[in-house]
Amino acid sequence: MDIIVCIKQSYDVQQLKFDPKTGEPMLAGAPRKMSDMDRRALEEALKIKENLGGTVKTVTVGPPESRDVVKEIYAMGADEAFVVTDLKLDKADPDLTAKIIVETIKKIGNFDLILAGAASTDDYSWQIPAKVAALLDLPFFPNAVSMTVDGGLVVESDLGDAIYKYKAPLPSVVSVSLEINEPRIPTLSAILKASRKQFTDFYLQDLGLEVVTELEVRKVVMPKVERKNVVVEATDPSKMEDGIKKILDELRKENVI
Amino acid sequence: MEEKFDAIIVGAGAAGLGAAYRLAKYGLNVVVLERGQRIGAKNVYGGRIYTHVFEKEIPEFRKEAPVERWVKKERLTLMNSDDAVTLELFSDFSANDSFIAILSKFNEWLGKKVEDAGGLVIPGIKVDDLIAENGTIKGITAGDEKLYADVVIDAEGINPIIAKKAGLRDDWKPNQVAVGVKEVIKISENTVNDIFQLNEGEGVANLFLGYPTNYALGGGFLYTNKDTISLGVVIRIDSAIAKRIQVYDIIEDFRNHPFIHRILKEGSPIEYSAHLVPEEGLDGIPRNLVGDGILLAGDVAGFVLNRGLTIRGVDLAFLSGLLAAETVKEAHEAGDFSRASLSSYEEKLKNSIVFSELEAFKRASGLLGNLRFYETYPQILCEVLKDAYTVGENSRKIYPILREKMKGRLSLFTMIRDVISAVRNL
Amino acid sequence: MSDLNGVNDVTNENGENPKEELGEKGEKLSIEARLGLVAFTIDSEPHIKLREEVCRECKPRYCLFVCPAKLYTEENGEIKFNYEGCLECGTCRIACPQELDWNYPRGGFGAHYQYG
Repeated sequence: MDIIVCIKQSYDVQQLKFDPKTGEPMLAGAPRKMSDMDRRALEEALKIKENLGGTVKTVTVGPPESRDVVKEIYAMGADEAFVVTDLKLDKADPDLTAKIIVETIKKIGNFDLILAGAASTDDYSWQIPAKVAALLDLPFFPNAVSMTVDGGLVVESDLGDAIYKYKAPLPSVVSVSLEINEPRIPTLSAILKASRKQFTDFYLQDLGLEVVTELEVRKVVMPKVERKNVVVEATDPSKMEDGIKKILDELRKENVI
Repeated sequence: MEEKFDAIIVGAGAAGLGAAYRLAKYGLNVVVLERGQRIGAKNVYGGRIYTHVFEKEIPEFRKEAPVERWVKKERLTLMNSDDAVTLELFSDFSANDSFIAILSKFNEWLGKKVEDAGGLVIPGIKVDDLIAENGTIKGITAGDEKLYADVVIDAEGINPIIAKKAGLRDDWKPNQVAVGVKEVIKISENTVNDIFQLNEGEGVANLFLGYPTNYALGGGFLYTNKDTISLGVVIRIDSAIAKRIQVYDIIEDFRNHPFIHRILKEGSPIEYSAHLVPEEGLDGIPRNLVGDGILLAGDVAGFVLNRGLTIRGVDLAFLSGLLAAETVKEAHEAGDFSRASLSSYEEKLKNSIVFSELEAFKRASGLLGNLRFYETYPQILCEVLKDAYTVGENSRKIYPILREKMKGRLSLFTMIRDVISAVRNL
Repeated sequence: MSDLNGVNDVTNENGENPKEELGEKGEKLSIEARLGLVAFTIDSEPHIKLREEVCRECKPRYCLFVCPAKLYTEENGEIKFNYEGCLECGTCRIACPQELDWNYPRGGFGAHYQYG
């Protein structure tokens, strides 16, 4: 089975620092990494390939530093990586990103399945896989928590209210959730083997596209966390019952229970 | 694993990346293994780096290196709990001989230079042990994996885990290393310029004695980055033990000292970090810097010069890496990686500024172990000047004030001896 | 008034600095708040291991005050150690009068400094 995986290099949100005064994220030079759900999409593709044979090719769209993610893509075991970069792609809107992905996929050629993370670690828009499917006029199965391919593609999608089990045709677009698998950590030997592998580097003009409208980010703020700092003391066992009662009262007061 | 490298380098710090850069330029097949998730993730440094060695080795250094600011003002501040006395050198420094950098970012840039030169840098891999055959180092192990090379350059940093396994050095003693803690405080670029009266791109290097270490051996530092401030305290571990210093809170006491507080009150910390610093100079360097199939470079070899007024390590580390690479290239050409063959590294170091500088200030570390410089003098100086500047009904001359403050704390003879010794050795 | 990262705001709504009233000294950030400023990836296995019986007998217990992250604490006479906020400096190993089983975390784990 020939699979194409969409992989974004996103900001490593866990490591993002915020200006204490303005509350805005300090993005200049902030660490980046392969987006968490995309990594699981790649893992899922590699598992299918190990099972059934075929190829795993990847598409990455973003600013020039996105090229850094290719080493890891290869170290995990992908066959070929395609990267489309442009300075302006840091602020590309989801419509354009999906369009670029689709144009790149057309250049790659035949495929049986397209996988992607359901949402990126940083922007978290949940839009790209659906837009890609729409542009390619393919069926779309969102937020997969499990999938099997032997004897036809079966996808279990978590749609919030319930998990839906679909028999899916090929080709299709499937977006995967965080729970679908635990991605592999590449071994040293795999990293070394991958380290000098070449990838295809496209610029926007190669695809006949350009950035017309940039996404305008109005504001990014950290959620306010305010601790109540309620301390209930129960130093000896006889006071334990009293303590528990006080904790329950506090929780009730906050409408938690 | 099939692939064998010409050299494996342990650690992507200034030393390891220096070695890798040069080896890659020679066209040798080199790999750097770095335990941090990315290059620079484990680095901690005060901030000042001396330019010379980098400029000579990397032609595009001035154009590309992530310099925060060039040092324009040098300050020394002696502090007690309420007051501070500062001596400032404002100078042309037209050679731009030192700059302030965030070492994490600086090493990330060095890593890119290594990759551009054709070297491999692999983060996320911790070297656990060495592979030895008949006493000769043949490679490394990382987890379950093995990797082989003609030679290993151990640039693991201050904690000598691999070097101990190679039998090349003992662990540090509490009187040989200091613990440094640092906070980086976010502040705007304009505020930095205004507070310190700097033009764009100019910076201040400020060292502190006395209160920042709670009068233990060591000092405080403040470096101006572009739009952040690096504030830190370095305390020799034996002294921290003797004075029972609560190392985890020491930086906050310093940050909230009135003198620092009015500088930094506009900002808040965005990162906290800690690291060890070699303090011993020449005496901290192990007797053997090479073994069969292995060389030591950078902090693990103790190449840090503490002159009291300045501390210098990153450039010496980088240079030691370059010299290790030169040695490996010669060994590669001779096909001999034995201790005897690699020992020319020790010669190269002795003929370089790594040793000449450490040699020139070899008595500094003894002098810097004199507690009076951290305890008695900062306090007396602050008290004397405060009284001398206080105008009241019975204003006194400086000498009687000084004698009064010295009473029971310091003899005139000791003071004169210390001054002479400081002037001679620093 | 508290905001991001547990750091106190410098100004209030009127743009005044409430700390001025506290005089020339500011407010200390706890070590827990400062460790909150460091990004960590925590390994499942501790990289520094204490030997209970050795620590119990240890009188000096320098680790309690030299650790820059205050990860060593005393509870009912026993030394407790939490490896999760470890800054990987090595101070405890140097100061410890006993042999401490000290190592770095696995590759890629532990502290990730950006301004180191």
